[in-house]
Amino acid sequence: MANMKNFRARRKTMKKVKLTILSLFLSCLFIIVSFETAPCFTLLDGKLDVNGFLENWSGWRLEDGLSNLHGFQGGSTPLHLIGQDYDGLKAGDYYLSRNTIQVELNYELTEKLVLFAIWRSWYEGSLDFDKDLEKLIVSKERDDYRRDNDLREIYVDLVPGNWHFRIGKQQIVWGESFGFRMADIINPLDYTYQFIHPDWEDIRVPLWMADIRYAFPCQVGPFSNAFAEFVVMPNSFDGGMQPNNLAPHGANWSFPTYPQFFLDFIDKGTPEESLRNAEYGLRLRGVANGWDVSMFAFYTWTDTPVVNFNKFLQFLGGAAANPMEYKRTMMAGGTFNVYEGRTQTVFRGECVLRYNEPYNSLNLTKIYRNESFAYMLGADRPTWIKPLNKVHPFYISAQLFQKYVFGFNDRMASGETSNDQMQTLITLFINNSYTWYFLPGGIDNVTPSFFGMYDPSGEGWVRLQLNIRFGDYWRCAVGTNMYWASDNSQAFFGLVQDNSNAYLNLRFEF
Amino acid sequence: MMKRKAVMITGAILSVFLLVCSSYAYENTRMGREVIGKIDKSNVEEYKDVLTATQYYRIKNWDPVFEIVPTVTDFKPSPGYIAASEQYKGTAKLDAEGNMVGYRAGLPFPDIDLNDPQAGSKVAWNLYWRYYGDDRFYTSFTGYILDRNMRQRINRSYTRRMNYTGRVDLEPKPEIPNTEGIEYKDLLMQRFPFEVKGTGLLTFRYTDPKKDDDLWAYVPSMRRIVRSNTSQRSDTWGGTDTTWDDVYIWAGRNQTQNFKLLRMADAYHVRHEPKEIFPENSKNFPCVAGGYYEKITAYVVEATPKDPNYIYKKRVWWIDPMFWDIALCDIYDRKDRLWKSITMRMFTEGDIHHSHTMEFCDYVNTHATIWHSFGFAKNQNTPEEDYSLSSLEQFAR
Repeated sequence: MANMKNFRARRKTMKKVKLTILSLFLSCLFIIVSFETAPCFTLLDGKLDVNGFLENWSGWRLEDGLSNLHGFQGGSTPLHLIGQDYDGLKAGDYYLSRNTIQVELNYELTEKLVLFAIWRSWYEGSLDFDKDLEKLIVSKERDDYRRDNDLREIYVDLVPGNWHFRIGKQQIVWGESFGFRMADIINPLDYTYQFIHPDWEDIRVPLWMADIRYAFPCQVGPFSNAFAEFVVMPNSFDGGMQPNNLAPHGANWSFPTYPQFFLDFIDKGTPEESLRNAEYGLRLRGVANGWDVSMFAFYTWTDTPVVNFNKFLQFLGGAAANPMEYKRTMMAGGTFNVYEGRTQTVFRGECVLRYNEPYNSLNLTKIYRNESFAYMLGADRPTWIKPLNKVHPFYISAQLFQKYVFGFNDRMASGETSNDQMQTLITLFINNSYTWYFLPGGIDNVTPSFFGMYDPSGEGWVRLQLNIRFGDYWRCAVGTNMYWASDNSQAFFGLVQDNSNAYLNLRFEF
Repeated sequence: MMKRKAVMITGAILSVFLLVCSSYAYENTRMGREVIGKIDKSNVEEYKDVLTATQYYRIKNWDPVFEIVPTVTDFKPSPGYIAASEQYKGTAKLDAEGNMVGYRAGLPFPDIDLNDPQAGSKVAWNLYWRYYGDDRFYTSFTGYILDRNMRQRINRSYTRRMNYTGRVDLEPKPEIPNTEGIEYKDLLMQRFPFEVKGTGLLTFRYTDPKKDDDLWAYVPSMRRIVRSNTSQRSDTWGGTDTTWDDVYIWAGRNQTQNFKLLRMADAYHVRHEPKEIFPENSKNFPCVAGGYYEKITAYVVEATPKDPNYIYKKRVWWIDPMFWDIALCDIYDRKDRLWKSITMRMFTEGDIHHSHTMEFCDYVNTHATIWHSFGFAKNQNTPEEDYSLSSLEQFAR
C-alpha cells in the first residue's frame, strides 16, 4: 500500500516535472519564434491569417471597500458569509489577475466569402493568490468566475453584388458615442472582471445574429454611400436572449446590493429560446453634403431586468417563482457625424427614444413603463499645444449625454446616472503620442491618455493611462481608475465608488 | 597526346578566364546595365552640386555608394493620357492664387517657361496630375520603421485609389459624373501589427479647393466606423515618419502650398530598379545603403505651406519630367534645419512606373521609415461600390 502511494506520488511529481519542462520549452520556442519569424501565421497561400494575443491584466484596489459596499457588511453581506469570519475587500488587494489567450482566424474562401472566428480562453488567478478573495464568492460561482473557454465569435461574410450577409456569432455596433452607451444597443456587456474599462470589443457579449446589408448602387435622393441594414437575433438556440453579465456577489465588481439569489434569477429569468422572442432592427445610413446620418429602430429585450414584486413575495413564500423580468422595448433614433473645416472639428451626435422602458420603483414594489429620450453631442478636435508636444497635436474629445424620462416621479429608480428626470453626463478624453528612444518600438511608442466622466449630480470617474509599445509584438498599459459618488443610489458609479484601482496590462500580440 | 593535353589545359584556362570575366561583368552590369561610375566618400565633393543636401550628407557621413548607370528615357504614359494631354492643351489655367481652373485631363502644363513667375505652381500641378492610371492598387505595402539603434518595426497595408476626374484610360472619360464633386476616393487597409490590423481608412477628396477631405476610419477595437479629422495633414500616422501629406511623397492639396521654381538642375535618381529588389539597409544609419542611379535634369521646386502650424517650414522637390513625379525631396523644419529626406526608387516598365521603395529619413531624430511595395496594378476598373462606407466595414474586418 505504502509502495503504491509512493509510486503514485512519484508519478504525479514526474508528470509535474514533465509539464514544467514542456511549458518552459514551449515558452522558449515561442519567444524565439516570436522574434524571428513572420509576425502572424499566414497559411493556405495567404488565404488564412491566424493572429491573436496573450495577455495578463492585473489590478490592485486603492481603497478599502465601504462597509455597505465592497466591505460587504450589513445589507451587502453575501448570504453564505453571514455568521462567518471574513474580511471585505481592502486597499492593496490583488483583485484581478486575468490571463487570456485569444486566437483569431480569417479565412478567405473566395473574394466574396470569408470566414472569421475568435477563440478565447482565460483564467482568473486572483482567487488562487488570495484565499480571502475566494472565500467572498459562493463556491458554486467560483469556477465560472475563474475560467472560461469559448468560441467567442464565428461568422461568415458573404458579399454577392450589393448585398452583404454576415451570419453567425458576432458583435454589431451602432452609434457615435465613446465611453458610454446610447445607440450601441445590440450586444449586452460583460461587467464581471473589469467593469466597463476594457476595450468594449472585449466585453461585448457576441450574439448569434444575421446582419443583412444592402448598399444602394446609386444616390438615394441627396444621399450617397447609402445602405440599409437589417439585423435579426433569433434567440431560438444556444441559450436564447443574453442579458448583461454581472459579477457574482462578493466579487470585486459585484453590485453589492444585489444578493446572489437575485443574480441567479437574472440568469434564469431570460425569455425562453423561441423565435417568438427574437430581436430585430433596421438601420438606414447615408451621406449628404458631408453629413453622415443614420436612422434606426430596434425591437428588443432590456439587457437588465426589473423586479416583479408579487413574484418576489411568492418566492419568499417558498414558491418557485422568478421575480426577475425582462421586458420588451422599442428603441428608435438617429446618429450624425460631420467634419466642420473652419473649426477643424468633427461633430457627432446620436439620440434614442425608448418606448415602454421599464423602471422599478425605489422600493421595488412597482414597475413603471415610461418613455425616455436620450441624446449625445460630441466634438473631436486635434489641437496643437506645442510646448507639450512639438510633433503631434493633442487629440481632444468631449461629449455631453442627457436623458429625459417622461412621467418621472421621485419614487422611480431611473437606472442610469442620478435618479432625476433629467440626467446629465459629461466626458472628456485627451491623448497624444511621444517617443522614448531608449525603448524598442520605434516612433510614437508611448501614449498617455486622460479620460474623465462627470455627472453634475455628484459622481464621476477619472482614468489616467500610459500605453507603451515595445516593438511589433509587446504592449503594456499601466493606469488608474478613480471613482466618486455622493451616495449608493447613483446607479452608474454609486455602487462602485469604493473600487478605485491601479492596473497593469501586459500583452503579447502575434 | 601532347596536343590533346595542351587543348585541355588551354580550355581550362579559358574557362576560368571566362568565368572570372562573366562574374565581373555580372557585377558591373547588374540587371543588364553597365555601371559607368560611382559616388562615395572618396569623391563626394566633386558631385556636391548635383546631389541633394541629404544625399551629400549621407555619402559624406555614412556608407551609401551611388553606382551610376546610363540614363534611360523610355517611359511614355498611356495613349489615352497622351491623347488627353493633346486634346485639352491650353484649357488649364492658374488663377492669381495658383489654383488651377479649367482642367479636364492629361498633363495640364506641358510647356514650362522657366521665367514664368507661376512656373513652380505649374510644375506642381503637372506633378499632381501625372500619369498613374485611372485607378491604382498597391497590393502590399510594407513599412520598415527603423530607430536610431537599427531596431525594426513593421507596418503592413494595402491601398487603392480611384479617380473620378482626369480619367484618360477607362470609361467614362474624362470624369465619372457625380453630384458630390469627388476628385478621387482612396482606401487604405492596415494588416499588421495586430493592434492596427483591420483598420481601414476611406478618404474622399473633392474638386472644390475650399472643401476639406472627408475621412472615415473603421476602428476594429470599436467595431465601427469613426469620422476622422483631416485638418492635421502634417501629422504622422501609424507610428511612422510619414505624414498624411507625405504619402506618395505628395498627397496634399496644392492649394495649401506656395510653390517657387528654384532652377532646373542635374540630379541622381533610381529610376529603373526591378520591383523585386529590396534595397539593402545602411549599416550605420537607418536608411537605404545605395543603388543604381541615373543622372536626370530635374525641376527643383520649393513648396512652403500656407498654414503657420504646419510642421515643415519647406520642402524642396526634385521633379523628374520623364514621369512628372518627385524623385527626391528634402524637408526643413521650422528652425531651418535639414530635417528629413524622402527618396523614391522607381520601377519602370512600359507605361507603368511606380515607386517600389519610398524612403523617409529623419536626420534630426535619427530614424527612418522605408516603405516597400510588393505589387502595383493600375486600371483594374474596380467598382465604385468598393469605395463606400459599407465596403469599408466589409474589407476592414
